[in-house]
Amino acid sequence: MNLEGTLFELFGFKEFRPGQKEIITSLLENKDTIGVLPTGTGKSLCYQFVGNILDGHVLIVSPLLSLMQDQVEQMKAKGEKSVVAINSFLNHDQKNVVIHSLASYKFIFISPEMLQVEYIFKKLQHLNISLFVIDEAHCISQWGYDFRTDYLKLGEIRKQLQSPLTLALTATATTEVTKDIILTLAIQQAAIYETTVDRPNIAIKTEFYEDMKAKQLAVISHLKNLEGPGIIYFSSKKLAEQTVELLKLHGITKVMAYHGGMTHEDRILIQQQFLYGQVDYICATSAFGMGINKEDIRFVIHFHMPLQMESYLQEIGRAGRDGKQSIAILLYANGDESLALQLAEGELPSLSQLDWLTHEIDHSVVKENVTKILTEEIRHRGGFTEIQWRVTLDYIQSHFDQHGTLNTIMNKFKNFVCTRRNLKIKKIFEMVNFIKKTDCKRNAILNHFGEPDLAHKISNCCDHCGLNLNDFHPIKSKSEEVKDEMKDWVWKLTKLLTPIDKGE
Amino acid sequence: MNQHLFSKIMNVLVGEKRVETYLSCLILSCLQKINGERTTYSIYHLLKGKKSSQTIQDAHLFNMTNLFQTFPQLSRNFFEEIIRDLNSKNYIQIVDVDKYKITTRGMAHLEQTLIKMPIPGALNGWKYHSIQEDFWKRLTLLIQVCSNLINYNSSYIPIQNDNKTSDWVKEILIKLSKKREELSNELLQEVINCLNTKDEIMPEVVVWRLTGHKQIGLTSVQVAELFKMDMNYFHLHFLSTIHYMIDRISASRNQYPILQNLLIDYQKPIVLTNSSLVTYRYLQLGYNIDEIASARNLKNSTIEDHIVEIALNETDFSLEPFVPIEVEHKIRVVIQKLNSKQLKMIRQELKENISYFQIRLVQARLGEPI
Repeated sequence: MNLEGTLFELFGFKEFRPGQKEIITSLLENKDTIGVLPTGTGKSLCYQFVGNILDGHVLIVSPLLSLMQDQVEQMKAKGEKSVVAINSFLNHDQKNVVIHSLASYKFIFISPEMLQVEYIFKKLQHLNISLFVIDEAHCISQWGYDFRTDYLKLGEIRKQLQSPLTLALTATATTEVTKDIILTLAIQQAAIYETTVDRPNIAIKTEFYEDMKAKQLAVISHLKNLEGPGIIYFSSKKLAEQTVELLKLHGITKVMAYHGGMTHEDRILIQQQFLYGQVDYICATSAFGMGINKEDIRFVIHFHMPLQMESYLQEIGRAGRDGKQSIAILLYANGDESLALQLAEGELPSLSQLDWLTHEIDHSVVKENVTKILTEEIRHRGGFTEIQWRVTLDYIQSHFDQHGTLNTIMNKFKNFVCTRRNLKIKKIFEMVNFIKKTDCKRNAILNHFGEPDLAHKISNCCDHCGLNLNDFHPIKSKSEEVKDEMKDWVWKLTKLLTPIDKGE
Repeated sequence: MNQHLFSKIMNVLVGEKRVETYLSCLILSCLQKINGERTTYSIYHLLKGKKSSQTIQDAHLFNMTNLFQTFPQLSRNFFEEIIRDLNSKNYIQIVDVDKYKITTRGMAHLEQTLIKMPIPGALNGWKYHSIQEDFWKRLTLLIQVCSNLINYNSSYIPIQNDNKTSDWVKEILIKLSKKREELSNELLQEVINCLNTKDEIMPEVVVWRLTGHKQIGLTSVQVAELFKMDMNYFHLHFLSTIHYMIDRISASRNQYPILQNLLIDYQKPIVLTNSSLVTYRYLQLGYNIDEIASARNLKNSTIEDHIVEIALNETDFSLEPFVPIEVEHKIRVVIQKLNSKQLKMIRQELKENISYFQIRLVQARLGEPI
């Protein structure tokens, strides 16, 4: 089979990106496969390609709702109409319609919690599933930074689906994580394909400042000098918005904030404005970036440090997808880790909250009723944040069927929380060590993911090996801004509704 | 650096939240209308769009239906902060717990602001709050789809992602079954006709938000900045323009063969609360207040509330069984003379054995029709 020919036919590309062909070949040889490919290097192409060749359905489990919606929309945008997402975005009626006509979809995306719904799962069992895809497969592993209890059940689910051909995909995986994936999914013989995490065209820089204001000043000056477009990542919505205000007052106008607190419509608008160059800079929280296929991002600045190397790598990886010279700059001020620790803390319930909860709930409850007694009211009284509550509910629900009382489950949960918390703290300090490291930053990243040092030095590697910021300044002075002329609305409307080449 | 810019930068750095915006002027104008006769929270509920009989009755009684549900996101804290701010500036003064009257100073400030920025005239929150969102979603998606159709581009991210809206667009395209050039051209003409008017609307605030092929619309914040408008004022203009469009389209559907589809399954607001509706049915069967109260196991006063609500909403509903015509006339005269909405004052002035219920019924008739 001429894979390149099929690639061109299906997707219009002449050649595969690194790793894609190997994964596709492995799957077509009917081997269960684990693919470790950096974000933005076309993971989804692997299962779309194979799905188009095999008969039957492709079932894709994806943990993040927004990511799932993005993927579905992009597949639809590229002309693949036979695709559907089953998740909590669907209301009751819509869900019924979709489930009823499930057999008519080639690609079925589903969230882990929907897989637990019995009538949906029964329906899936009757389908001929030719490929079972687990996206973000690192969520299976307790060692992963994003462990999800509902992912642990995927092994059992795979078995009940008659162990279809399986593809586990992730952007980053240490050896421990890969082992966990194989074990949990009960894959007999896994073919593992990894590409290097190195992105040679992204220079890596860390800068040290005395406080937050100094960092804001640094952002202003970088944006005035660096070639755009670029993304600036923040851990706080408020600070992202404040910095946008500051930038505007300093004459940088094509900048917008983006975070999870905005409406869906606004988020789409800003994303698309960025994509089409109407906006050059985005001050964002980590909510920004998934599913954004912009090739020419020239820099990524981290105003706050990410909570782990995996996120850092994903976020800087959004720069330079076109292969051109780009730069990642992380701004650090003493004590920044305390904010990171605080954020990590807020993702898990505290032990005293759990003691309170153990005391509060009725221990004679049976599994069917457990969600009924864990009410919003209890959540509020116990001061659980939404994310803390979700973790708690997930854990209790998924462990209830194991023999044992609620009491033993709560004790196990407390142990689990401690382990997770320690892991998160460890990850934050790995991040801090990376920032403060005085050796080659690129090798530090490679080593972290189990790869050896680079054999050859590259130019503009990192601040340790040397990089010249001037190389990241625009060659020409920033082009004269074409003003969105304040034409009248009839002109504007006409431009929208007439073909572009005839419009002017 | 110039002083003005510097102080702006400092404001951003200390994170000052602007309390005095157009919203605070709007609240001031409501306070002027209710004139200390209701608590400030009646305004909060009005802006949030709470669907209780009390809020709906007050909206009509004090001529504020246009503002119904114009700020559904408003938080109680921020609302209270605005009231405190108005009070600290001596624009209002307290007359009772949570009740304020506007001061002369406040009056002057209000008039000054309203001259510069009058409340957009086409605004009609009560009538259109239940459809404005669907209308907007459908309009934006339809325009985006048409814009991409005429550019023969099928690869783009839809600006609205809910199935309800996209199903609607699919249905409409099939129903109209026009050539893409024809469709876009006619749509363009219809939107221009609909917005082309001497009336006080700002088509820009809607048009600049629209998305098409390779031309992404602006967010509300961006449009407000572009036109240097206060964010809340922009918001009212935006709603007002949408309401204006709905108004025009529904008034002459024939002239808008494409746009009239935006109003599919638009239902006028359910005017009566469920409980009042039951009372209404009993009344129509000839039951009196006492009988309804005991049949429904409710207090008489509750049934009276329902009847006031019915009187407000049903212009044909006769008050006569409850208020004899000559009594109605007397009450009307007193209400007009006192120019107050306070029941106690009206009742004292009447000096007769007239119940609050009867006064409220007549008041209901004098309020804005729905």
